[in-house]
Amino acid sequence: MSSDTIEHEASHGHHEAPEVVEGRQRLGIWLFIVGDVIMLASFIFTYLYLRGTNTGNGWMTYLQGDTNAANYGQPVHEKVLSAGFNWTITAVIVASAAVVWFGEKHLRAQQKGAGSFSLIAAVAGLLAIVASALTVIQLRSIDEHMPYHLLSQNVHEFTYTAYGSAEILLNGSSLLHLIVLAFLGFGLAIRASKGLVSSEGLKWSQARFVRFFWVWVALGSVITAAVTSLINK
Amino acid sequence: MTATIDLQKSHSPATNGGGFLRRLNFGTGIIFGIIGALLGYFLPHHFFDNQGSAFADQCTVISAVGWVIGFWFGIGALAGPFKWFLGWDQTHADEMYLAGKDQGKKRYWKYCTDHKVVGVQYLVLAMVLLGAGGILAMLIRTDLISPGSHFVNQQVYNSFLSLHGMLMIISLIIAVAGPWGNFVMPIQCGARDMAFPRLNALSLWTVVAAAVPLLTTLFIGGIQDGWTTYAPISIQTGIGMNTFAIAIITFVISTTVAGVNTVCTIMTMRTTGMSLDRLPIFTWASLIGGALGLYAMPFFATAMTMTILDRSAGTSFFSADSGGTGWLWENMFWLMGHPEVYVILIPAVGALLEIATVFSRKPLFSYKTAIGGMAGIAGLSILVWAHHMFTTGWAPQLGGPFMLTTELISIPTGIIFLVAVGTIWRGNLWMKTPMIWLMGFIANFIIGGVTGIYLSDIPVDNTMHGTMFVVAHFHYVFVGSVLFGAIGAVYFWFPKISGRFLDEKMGRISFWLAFIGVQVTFLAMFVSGLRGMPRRYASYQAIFEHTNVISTIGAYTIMAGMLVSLANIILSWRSGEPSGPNPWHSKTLEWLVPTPVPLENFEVLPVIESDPYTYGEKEGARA
Repeated sequence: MSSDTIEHEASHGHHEAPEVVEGRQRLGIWLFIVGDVIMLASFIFTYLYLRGTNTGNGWMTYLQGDTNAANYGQPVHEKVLSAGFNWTITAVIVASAAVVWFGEKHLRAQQKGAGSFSLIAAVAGLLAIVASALTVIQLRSIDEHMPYHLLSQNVHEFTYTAYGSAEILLNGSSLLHLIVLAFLGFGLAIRASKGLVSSEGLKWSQARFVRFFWVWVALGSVITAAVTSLINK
Repeated sequence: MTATIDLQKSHSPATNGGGFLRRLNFGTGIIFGIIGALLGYFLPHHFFDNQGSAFADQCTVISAVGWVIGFWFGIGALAGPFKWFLGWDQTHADEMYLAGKDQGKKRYWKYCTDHKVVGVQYLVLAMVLLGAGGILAMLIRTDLISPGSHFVNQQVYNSFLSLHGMLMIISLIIAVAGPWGNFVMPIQCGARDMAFPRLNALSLWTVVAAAVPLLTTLFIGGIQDGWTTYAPISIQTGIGMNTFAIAIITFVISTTVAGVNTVCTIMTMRTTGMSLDRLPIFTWASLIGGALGLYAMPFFATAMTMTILDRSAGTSFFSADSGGTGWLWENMFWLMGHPEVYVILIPAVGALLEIATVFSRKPLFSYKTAIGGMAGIAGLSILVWAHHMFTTGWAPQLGGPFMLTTELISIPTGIIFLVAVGTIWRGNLWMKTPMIWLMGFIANFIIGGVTGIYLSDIPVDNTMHGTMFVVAHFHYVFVGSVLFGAIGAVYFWFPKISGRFLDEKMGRISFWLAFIGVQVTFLAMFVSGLRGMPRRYASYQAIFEHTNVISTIGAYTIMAGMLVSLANIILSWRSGEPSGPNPWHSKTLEWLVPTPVPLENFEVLPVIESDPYTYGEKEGARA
């Protein structure tokens, strides 16, 4: 790579073609998704590892901690979180992804632009908020069944079982993702309403990249729901 | 400091006046960070039950998160996402302003998107963090100069030891990949900037955001559980663990962003003719290191998230009395921990191989084998984590396979040695300071590597794991190898960022102090370990005194060497001998652009027609 091997291009290169920029951004979003896949894999590994080791038979079992109860100190088996409710949340997330997926593809195929996509993105964002609210309810249901241990006289310290802990991790992660999806959905809706999402050049690629991430979050939700529904007790 | 110039006269000038966002800088970052931290500390008093034992943990966690968000806001990192959300896209003038156009030295204190500015910022940040970690090392060694010296009490000693470890890990992760992965790598590719300039600035300032809560641990009780923060001790220790955990999660955000940016830049922004088999070896090392970091670091964030939840939200990931297990932590930590060693090492190796070929005036010996060696190290590094757990009793039936994978990794590592030695062999050696640091690296890494092979054997590890032998081993790798590589890289590329040479005489003095210091410190530490001295202890039996005195003298010697190099950098940056654009007569692209490097690096993008290591061949023979 000596200096004589450097030749000047015919044109200045700092105005890049839209497809070049789009390719770069596409790889970027895929790499972020790869990082997120690893994160979810580590969460599911945690869930399965704790289930597999079941240390001290404590995966779902805790000791009765109410000092006034006759059965104080007896093991209590925690209830499994409602699989139906879990799948309901997942269904809402999948529906929001489907809205983004089919809406984006259809509009791109129809060469339609801003106005229509604004509505689609807003609907998807709303569904993400609904899923967020349902996830908060799910998290609170863990809280309501929270067992506790008696640490010392008259002082109760609450402690989740390993199962409850793993569910908090998975649901908490899902909630964070849904907040990001809502941000992206409403952001796209606002941008589309301003004419910043259209079929011209790069302006559409943002919608496509959001779709990639949205579909991944939905897929991750399906995987999580499947694992926690099939492997729990 | 670098003074980049703009050759793109056609750009519309950046406006300097007006706008809240244009007034944001490091100072406003600190101010908003403190506001965020205070809000984070006091708001829980209104919303949480402050009777529980976890209340203090909740307050410190939220306070540390408040710091990070406040700092991001104050430095301007959140402006991009929110402007996107509201549909206020950046104008070209905004982008030029963010790139630091016409802002002189002020841009080094701002959220600047110019990759060269980010590179210099990373260099300074790495030196600050290395300095802090080095001071802690001196305090630790001073405490260990005699048995029961009580130079510091045992809690403070534990805090120093833990923070020293993590500071050094973080600073070494960024020591090569930060400055040179930003300043040099895009130019080596023939790119005008990184793929995502704003994310590039985000990665830099996120490390700053992480460093503050990390250092804060010292002032709120410290972390008592070592840099590995093994559970369940990490659940039981003081509130310093909370800020430590938030610092790590924040740092993981930075490395993830940086990893995506690095891989994207190399894969999509290479200039015409810069095929993968023509990439400079340092760029290959950046690619492999960045991809490996992308894989490894999320495990650390997950582990730290679980630590925070256990401490402040009543979960039981690591508490055996509620169904959790400490082995979960160990698996998570080392799933990150071992690849992270190579996230640190591989960029340093890449930089040193650049030095080897330039200062031997020979093509890189077996270029493709070198790439294969680095890729092999990265691939195997994700399959060796449990060798850190041989003595824990976890899955003993897997001991054999993990011993095998650990020993296998010595093969690609050995290949890298062969490439370095093969490049130097019968070369026309030009023994300038960067080359001397390379020689030191080769000598030290042999010792660090071979002792690693010993420790990969389960019987030896069972005997040595809890001793100073292991400490000596990994310090030969991190100090003797990576730090030598990082400093060699500074001596090599400093003329490109400053337009001046580092002083040769001071460089040699620094090298010999550091090299002799490493041998004195860590060979004596090997002896301490072989004689059975346990690691992590604040005091020890009298029989270990002699070797500890020697190690402490050696550590001071290393510090003296580091201070000479620091003085060299400061003095040479101000008044060093001018170097010109290509003082080493190198053939990679970063040396073929002017110094100072223009804002967009190339007036016109180059077209590459040969590989970068055609030293010793007749001009044009390979064109």
